[in-house]
Amino acid sequence: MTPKFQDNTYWMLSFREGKHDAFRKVFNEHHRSLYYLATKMGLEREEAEDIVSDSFTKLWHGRSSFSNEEHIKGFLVTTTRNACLNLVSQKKRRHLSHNELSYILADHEEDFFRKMVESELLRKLYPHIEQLPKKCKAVFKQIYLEGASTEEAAERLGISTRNVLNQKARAIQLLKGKLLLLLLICSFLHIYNVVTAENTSNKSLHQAFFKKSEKSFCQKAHTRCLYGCTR
Amino acid sequence: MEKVDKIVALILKYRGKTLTEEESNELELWLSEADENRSLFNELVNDESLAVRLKIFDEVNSEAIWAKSMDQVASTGAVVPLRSGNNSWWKYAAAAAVILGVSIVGWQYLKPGKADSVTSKQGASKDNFGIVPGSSKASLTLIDGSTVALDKSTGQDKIQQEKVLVTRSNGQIVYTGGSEHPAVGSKVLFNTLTTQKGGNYRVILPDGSVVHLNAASSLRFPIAFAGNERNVSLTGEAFFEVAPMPRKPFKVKIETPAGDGGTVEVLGTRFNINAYSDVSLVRTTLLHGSVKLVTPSAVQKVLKPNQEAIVNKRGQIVEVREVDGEKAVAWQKDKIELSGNIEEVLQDIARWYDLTVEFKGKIPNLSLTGQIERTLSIDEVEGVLRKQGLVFELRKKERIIVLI
Repeated sequence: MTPKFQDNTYWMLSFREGKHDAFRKVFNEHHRSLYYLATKMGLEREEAEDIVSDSFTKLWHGRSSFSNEEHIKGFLVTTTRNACLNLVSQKKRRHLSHNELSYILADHEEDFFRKMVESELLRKLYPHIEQLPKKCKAVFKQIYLEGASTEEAAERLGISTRNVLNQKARAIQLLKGKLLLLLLICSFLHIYNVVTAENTSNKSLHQAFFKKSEKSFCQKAHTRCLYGCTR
Repeated sequence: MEKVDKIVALILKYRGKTLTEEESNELELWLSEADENRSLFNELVNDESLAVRLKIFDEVNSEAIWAKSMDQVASTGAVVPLRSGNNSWWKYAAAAAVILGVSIVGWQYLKPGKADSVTSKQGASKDNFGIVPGSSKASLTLIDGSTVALDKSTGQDKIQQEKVLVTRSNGQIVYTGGSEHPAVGSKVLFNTLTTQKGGNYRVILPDGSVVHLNAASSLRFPIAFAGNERNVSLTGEAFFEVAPMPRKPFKVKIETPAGDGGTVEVLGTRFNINAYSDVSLVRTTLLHGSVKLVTPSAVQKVLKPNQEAIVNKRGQIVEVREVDGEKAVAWQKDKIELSGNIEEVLQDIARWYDLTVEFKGKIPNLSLTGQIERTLSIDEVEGVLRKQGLVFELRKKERIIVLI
């Protein structure tokens, strides 16, 4: 969040007055987690998009009555959740018996709580990825989110493998301490990779590294590395 | 929602390996509540499954959602230039109030037992059936007839009406800009500040005068004082601190349910007017300066400091007496004065805690003493009254005090 956004009185005022920038800030802050909630509640991609955009339309119309960010978030979550429940029930009604339907629609609080935990955790982590420099972010997304190998990433992005590795190391540097910690363990291997043995195969490098390392550390790193490096 | 935030914070700390022992226990407690909690946790601390989730986040078609939403905004006739400031937001206040209502209901559903002070108090003492002390809240009717809700939140709001700016913060609204433009058009434009039971609010008028409105009251006033008089009208009770303007007298028109309650004319002074609908008389108490009472029957009476004039329903001055002025305005310092007419004392309490009073028999011939804080819980108030020997029944569910 930018400092401006945290300035509660200033941005809330702009938000209520319908200033484009403030509204867009709120949108950026919340639309992904709402979309995520909607898909978790069983909606298809397009349905989720429709519901989330509806929620923001409603927020726009009611903007003058909000007093703080929590309040806005609460409104968005509730509106989205209710719309999802309505749509799910419409869809299911055709195929299910009354009992089955009411079971599904019970929408247990506990379940929803867990969905909220997920979407909120992601909402907090995702901006760290988004804030990476452009190339760095592209590499990071290829490797971490798409599960691409260094070579695949290089090919897809049209850059050298060396460049991929450098960008990755940079991403890790920038994400250090941003609570994507398990990821960092793997990253050290890659930095090692870049620095010491660029021409050695990944596999033998890992083996060499593991010999030097503590056992528990290695096991965690190994899992991550298989994913990040050899696929 | 607080609990969601808490759990998320714990998971993040776990990922960052910065959990304290206490936090670790807290997390473990949640994990042990349900198997689903544990399996979710395992997935969220595992990078592979976290990556799958972040991928969904990443693939969101943000611009499509944004465009759809903005299209809908445009097509619903809310013609608001998106990139410019907009001073007419109060036009949407009515519609907004409906949406707000929905959101609050839904939101409380999401976070049972937690919320702002009011709901938390309700949650803490369920047997009180939501009977809580009053707070800073009111509604403001604007020149176009729309109404905005005012609360005690510390943030600041601004409303522009003609040349006059209204700023809300901390249980108070301030009118500015009117003096530079004394003639706001040819017509006089009014706002009305209204409190319900359990509410109170302060307004600083365009001339700098301060009016503190007690519960279940209203004040109608022009957004700028044009002409050679400052005229406002009052129902209920308010404390005035009038800015001195020798050539521009300040006049309070008192409206009672029984009709015209007369006028109080001032030149610069502090005084209290009590003209509640449930009190049969209008009491004007002067603390400082000088006021002139003009009854509906045009009888005039000048009051001195620490004098109180009582006007009856027929508009006659029935008594002028020496009083302790500070006692009359105890409410203004967030206290309820217990000495005095027992009926009025109980009505005061009822107005603050949003109750009604029922007198089954004769009004007891008993006088209470002292003051109580308006922040006390209803149980504490009940205790004080009983200690002083008042016999009554408090039916919390029906929100009634019955004097037997």
